[in-house]
Amino acid sequence: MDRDLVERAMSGDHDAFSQLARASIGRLYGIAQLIVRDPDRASDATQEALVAAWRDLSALRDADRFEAWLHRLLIRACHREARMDRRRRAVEVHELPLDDTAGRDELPALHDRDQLERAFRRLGVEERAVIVLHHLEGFPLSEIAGILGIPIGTAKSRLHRGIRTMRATLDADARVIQIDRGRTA
Amino acid sequence: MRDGFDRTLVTWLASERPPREPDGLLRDVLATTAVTRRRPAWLVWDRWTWSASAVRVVRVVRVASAVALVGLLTAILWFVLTVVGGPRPATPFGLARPGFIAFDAEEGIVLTRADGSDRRTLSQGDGQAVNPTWSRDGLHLAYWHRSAETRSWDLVVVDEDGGNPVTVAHGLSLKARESTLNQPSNLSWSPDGERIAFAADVGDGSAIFVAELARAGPTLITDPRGRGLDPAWAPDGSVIAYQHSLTETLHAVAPDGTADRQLSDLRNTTLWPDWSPDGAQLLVTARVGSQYDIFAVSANGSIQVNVSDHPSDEFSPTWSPAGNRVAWARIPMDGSARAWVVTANPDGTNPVEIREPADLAPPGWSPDGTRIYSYVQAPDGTFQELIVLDPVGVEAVVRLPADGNIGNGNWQRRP
Repeated sequence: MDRDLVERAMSGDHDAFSQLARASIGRLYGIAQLIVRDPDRASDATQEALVAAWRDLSALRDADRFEAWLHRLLIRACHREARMDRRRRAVEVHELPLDDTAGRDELPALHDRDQLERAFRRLGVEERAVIVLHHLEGFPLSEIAGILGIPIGTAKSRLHRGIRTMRATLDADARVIQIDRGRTA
Repeated sequence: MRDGFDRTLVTWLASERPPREPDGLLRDVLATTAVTRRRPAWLVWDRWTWSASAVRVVRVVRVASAVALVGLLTAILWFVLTVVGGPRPATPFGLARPGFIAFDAEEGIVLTRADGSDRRTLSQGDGQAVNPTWSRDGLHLAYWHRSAETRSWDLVVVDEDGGNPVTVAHGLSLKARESTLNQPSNLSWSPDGERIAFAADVGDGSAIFVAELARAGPTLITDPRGRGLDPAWAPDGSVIAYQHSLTETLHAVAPDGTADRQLSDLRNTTLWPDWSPDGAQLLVTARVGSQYDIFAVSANGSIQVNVSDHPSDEFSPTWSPAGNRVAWARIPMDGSARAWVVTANPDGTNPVEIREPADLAPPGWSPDGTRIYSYVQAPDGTFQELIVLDPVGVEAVVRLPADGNIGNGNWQRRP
C-alpha cells in the first residue's frame, strides 16, 4: 500500500482515499464473502468497513498499518453482519443453490465442496476470520493477533478450534455416507 | 507444514472467493464517503486500544478486572456465609432445637451435646468459671469468672463457639449466694439477647443490675437496701422479676430501674422465680409455715396457686419450653436422697416423680421439651454427673460425668 496515499487520505484527501479503496475493495469483498457466506451481507460489510476507514482515518497512528487496520474494520463489520444475519435467519429460509449443470463425473468434487461448505458454516465468525486471514490471505498468526487486537494464543486457539470443528464435521459426514452406502449395497 | 486437509481447505477457499467485487460497490462506497464527515481522532476507540502497547494495557486491564471480579465474588461469598448463612438466632421462647448443654465443672465451663458428643471445655485463663447461661437466641453464652488472685467475679460473654470473650461487668460479689451456694448471682438474659440482669453486692445490701453487651459497665436498677436477688427477665422484656430479700416477697422492676413494685403479697418467697413462656405467670418457691412449696403467680400478682401441694419441701420450679409442663425438685420425706425431680402440669395435676437422686438446683428442660436434666449426687455428697432424663419416665437417657462438683446446666436453643 502506498504510504504517501495513506498519509494524504489521513489528512483528508478524498481522491487519495478513492485510490486506496479501489485498490483494496476486491480483496476486502472476497474476504467478507468467505466469512459471512452471503453476497449482500459481504457487500454491506465491505462498504461499512471502507466508510468507517474514511471516517476514522485521522485516528490511525501509523500509515504503514493502514492495510491491517482495514482488515480489522472489515472483520468487525462481518461480525455485525453475522449478528444481523442470525436475527434474520429466524424468518428466512436460505437454500444453497444447486448446480444443475454438474455432470455425474463431477459429483464427488461437488459433494466435497458441499461438505466443506457445511463444515465451514458450522464455525463462528471468529474462527472463519482467522482461517481466511491465515490460510487464504497468508497473514501469520502474530499479524492476525495484531489485526484483531487479541493475544496470539487466542488467535492460535481460534485457528485450531476452527480446523478441528471442520474436521469433526467432515468425519461425521463421512460416517453417514458409509452407512448410506452400506444400506444401498 | 500444511497437511492434506489444509491444502484442500486453501483450494476450496480460493475457489469460493469471488473474483471481484459487485458492480457499483466502489461507486456506492465513494459516494457515501464523499458525504461522510471525519471524526476527530480522539473520538475513535481504535486510536486508544489498537496498538501493541494498547493490547498489553487492555490485557492488564482485563486481568485486573478478572482479579477484581474474583475478589468481589469472594467478598459476596464471605458475606453470604458469615452474615446471611452465619449463626441464626433461635426464637427466644417456645419450642426450639436443642443445641449444646453447658454446665460448670472443676475443669471449667463444659459444652456437650446431650449424647455426650462434641464435648469441649471453655476456659478463661486460670481461676474458676461458673453459671454458664445461654442467651435466649442461643448465640451467646454468659458466665462468671474469677481469677486465682482475686475473690471477685467478672461477667464474661462469649460467642456460641466460645470465641470473642467480652467482660461486661467486673469485680463483683454476692455474699448472700456465695455463702450458701458457693456461686454468685444467677444470670437472666433479656429476650432480645442484648442485656443481662444479675444481682451483686452494693455496700451492705445487694441490688439488681443490667449489663448491656454493647456498653461497658452495668446499670444498677434497684435500691440496694431491698437486697435484691435472683432476677428473671419477663418474656416481653418489659419487667424483671426478682426476689426482694428484705421483705421476702416477689418484686418486679422495669429494666431501666423505674416502676419497682411488689408483684404479689405472697410471703416468704425464695430462690429463682421462673416466667412461663407466654409471660402470663411465674413459678416461685415460697415457705408456708415450715414447708416450702411451688406457687404459680399471675403476672399482675392477682392469682396465687400452690401447684405442688405436697408434704415434702419443694424448690426450684422451671417451665417447659412449650409451657405445658413444669418441673421442680422435691426433697424425699424419707431422707433417702437430696432431691428427686417432679414434672407436672402447670396447675400441679398429673405429677410424675422421677426418683433419681438429684440436686436441689432447678432441673432443666431441653429446648424441644423432650428431655430434662439434673445432677446426680455421688456417695460423697458431690455432684459428679449430669443426667439427661425422659421427663415422663424414670430411666436416665445419658449420663455426662465430669470432675468436681458440677451444676448450673443450661441448654442452648437453636433455630
